[in-house]
Amino acid sequence: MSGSFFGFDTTLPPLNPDQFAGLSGNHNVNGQQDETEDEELERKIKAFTLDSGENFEVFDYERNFDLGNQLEESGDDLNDETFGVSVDVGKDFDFIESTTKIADTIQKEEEIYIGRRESSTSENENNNRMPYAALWSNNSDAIANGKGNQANDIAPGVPPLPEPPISPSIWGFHPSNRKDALAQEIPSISGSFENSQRYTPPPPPTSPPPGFGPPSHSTARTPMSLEQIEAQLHRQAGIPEKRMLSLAEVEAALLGINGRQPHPMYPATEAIFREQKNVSYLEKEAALREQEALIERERKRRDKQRKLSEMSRYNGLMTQSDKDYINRIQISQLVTDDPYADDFYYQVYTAIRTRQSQPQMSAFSPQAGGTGFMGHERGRHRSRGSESGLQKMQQQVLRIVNDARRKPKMTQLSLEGALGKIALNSVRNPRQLLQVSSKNNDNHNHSGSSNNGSVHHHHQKVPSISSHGITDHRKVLRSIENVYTAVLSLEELKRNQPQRIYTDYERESYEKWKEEYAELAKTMWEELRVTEAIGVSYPHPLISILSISKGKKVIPRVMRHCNAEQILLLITMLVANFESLDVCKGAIWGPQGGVGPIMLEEVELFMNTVVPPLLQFVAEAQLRIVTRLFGLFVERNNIVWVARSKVGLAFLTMFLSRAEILKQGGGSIQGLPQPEERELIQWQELYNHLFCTLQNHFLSLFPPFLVGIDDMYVWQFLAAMAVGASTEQQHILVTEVRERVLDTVVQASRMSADKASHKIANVNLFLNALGLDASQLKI
Amino acid sequence: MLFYSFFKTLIGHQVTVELKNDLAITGVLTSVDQFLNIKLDDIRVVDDAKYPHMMAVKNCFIRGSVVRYVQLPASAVDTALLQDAARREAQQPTTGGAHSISR
Repeated sequence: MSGSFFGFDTTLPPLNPDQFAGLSGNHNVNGQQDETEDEELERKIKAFTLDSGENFEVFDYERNFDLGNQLEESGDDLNDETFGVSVDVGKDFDFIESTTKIADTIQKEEEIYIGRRESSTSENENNNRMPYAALWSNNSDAIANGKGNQANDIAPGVPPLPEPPISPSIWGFHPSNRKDALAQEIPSISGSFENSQRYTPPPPPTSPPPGFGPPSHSTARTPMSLEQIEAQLHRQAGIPEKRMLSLAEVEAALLGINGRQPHPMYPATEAIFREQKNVSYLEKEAALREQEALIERERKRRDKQRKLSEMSRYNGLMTQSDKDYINRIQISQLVTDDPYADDFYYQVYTAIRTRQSQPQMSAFSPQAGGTGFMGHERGRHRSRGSESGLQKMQQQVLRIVNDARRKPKMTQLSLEGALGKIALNSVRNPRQLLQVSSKNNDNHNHSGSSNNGSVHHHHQKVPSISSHGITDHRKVLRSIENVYTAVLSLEELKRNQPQRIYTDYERESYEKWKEEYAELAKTMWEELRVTEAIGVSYPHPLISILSISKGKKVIPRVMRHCNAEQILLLITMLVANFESLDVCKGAIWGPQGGVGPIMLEEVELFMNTVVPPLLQFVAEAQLRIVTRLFGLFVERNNIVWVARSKVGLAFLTMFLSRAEILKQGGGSIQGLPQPEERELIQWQELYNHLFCTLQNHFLSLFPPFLVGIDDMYVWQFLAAMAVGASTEQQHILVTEVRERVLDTVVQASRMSADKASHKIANVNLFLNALGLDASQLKI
Repeated sequence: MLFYSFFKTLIGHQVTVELKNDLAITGVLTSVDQFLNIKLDDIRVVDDAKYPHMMAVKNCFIRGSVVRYVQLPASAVDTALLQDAARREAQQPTTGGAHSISR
């Protein structure tokens, strides 16, 4: 039915859907309620007719039946937008239900009215009346039906009339028109149309234009045929007759009142209608857009739902125990009884990084060495809720670890009857891509000398007969690695050091820990081979270790686990063999030899790793010890030569400045007794000896001017010398380095501000020690 | 396990993963597992003119076995610690392969 309505509307501009919507509201009420509501409808109808008048433009066409051909079709341009081509128009437009119920009633009214008008009024008035009915019926179907009704209803009360000129136009025109419109514009709702089509009388076969029933044909239609159709319609629709009657009565009464009023109002109403139409279009469009958005949302939701349901097909494929099993397989790969063993880098790295922000790190607590699995740091920070689950998992993990421990580690598995072997690879035991045979390697290395290899430890098997340099180098590397191993174990022990020692058990474990620690420290010390007598091997093992960069790097870590006695021993050995140190013998500045960049790096490394802990030790030593070390240094090395290296000079400076501090009573701050007179004299002797040795060589201590090395360390040394020097010695010093001082100041004057100030500051180190300043110099 | 342990510390850092098919992807490392499968976020292909199809890809999962190189941010690597970790790994009796080579 709504289809018919739409069809009607599309061709007839004044009857815009908005109006119909409003009307349909009335109809809805009436259609769904019982007769008691009819009165209200009546009232509304009356009101409406009063408002808008009965004369609608539509009916101008109908009045002149021939004009059906010229019917304006252009008004339907926006129908697609208004009603949507295929979209669900929604309930707003669903007049079918309500209108079907009411349509017949209205048709009846129409018929009654027509019948009355036929007998009493002119055709014109009839016309006026017709649009009114059409308006109410909301669709041509209703009208079409009404046509049947008309005859039907009128027949008993009113004598059957010849077909009124107007009604055929209505009946003939509307249904067919509707059909066209439907077919063209709203195919999607054709279902409902098919339904409605049953109600409509087929257009007369002779009608020339398919859309419009010519008047001539309408006259040919007999009321009887319509009557039959109507009857059939009623049978199909099953619409109760009583309602119609009541409506018909109402209509009749209405007509009696308003029948002729509409005419004068006609032009005004038309304007209003147009306006309304425009407004309604906008409204409809907005509504449609909203609806489209809704549909879009709905579509997305449905898509999601569909995907979910698709996935849910696999729900429940695995049982919980299956999942647990898989989890266990995965976790067992990551599980470890010692996170520091397998996850060392991550654990220590994160500990170091987070220590900067938070002082107390959980990773260093004694429990950290216990059972855990990788990434347990993160696990620890989880919320309480997952804690129990985590514990459960850890228990499981513990079981797995224990199982793994009980079983011997196998890399291969050969099944009985199998031709090949099954490799049991895991993350920790990956497939070996490189097969290095150590046996062949060894044979190749000491070919012809395998007879004396048996005594040696495996890694020291390489005999000293074959090329000395290589084997010694290897030995050194191996011993450095052994030192590292010991240091790492010591560091781990330190991390796991028991902190509370209150109970007996704790004391016991602490004793055990101490024992273990001492044992390891001893191992480390032995690996360092500091105590080896001088002269047995050249260079001394300690010097060999210090000649390799990773050997230098391990020193500060070794020192942490050494007692004062050991450190003294180490520094004594170092001082005694200073000449053979790579950073000394390889880094001598002279007129002929330079120092390569690699050696400079080594020197820097030595200064940054080995010197600081030694400096720290010396800075706390008594004068007696300083004098002893200093004496040893001067005695055992060619000072003039050694002093030309940065490291050598740094050692000299170190001893000199410490002695000077102690001489001036600086040791009392550290709780050291004032140095005895004998010690002071001893020191002064040594100093004089050094000064004499270096006299005439002070200028050669400087690295060449053009190299661009920062010569601050030389100025520092000179300052340390100058402080302890007598007036005569100071004079000698100044005379010797005067040239260099002046050169540096001149050079500084040509440099940029910050470089110049650095240079001047260097010079001032020395000049200030003499009570002078660079600014006093006249260049 | 050292590499797994190592890469875990790089999570959150920008790395460049070079694949065996010559594709090089720069992105923020979001996750790594024991197979060294890698997840990257905010990725950018190094030679994006050559791989226009990667333009719209914002994050990716890379199977560990297809990785050729990973370019690391130098500031995020503690080489001394890495050496220690390597030493520890070599000491472990369970790591059969490395052990048998060193001895």
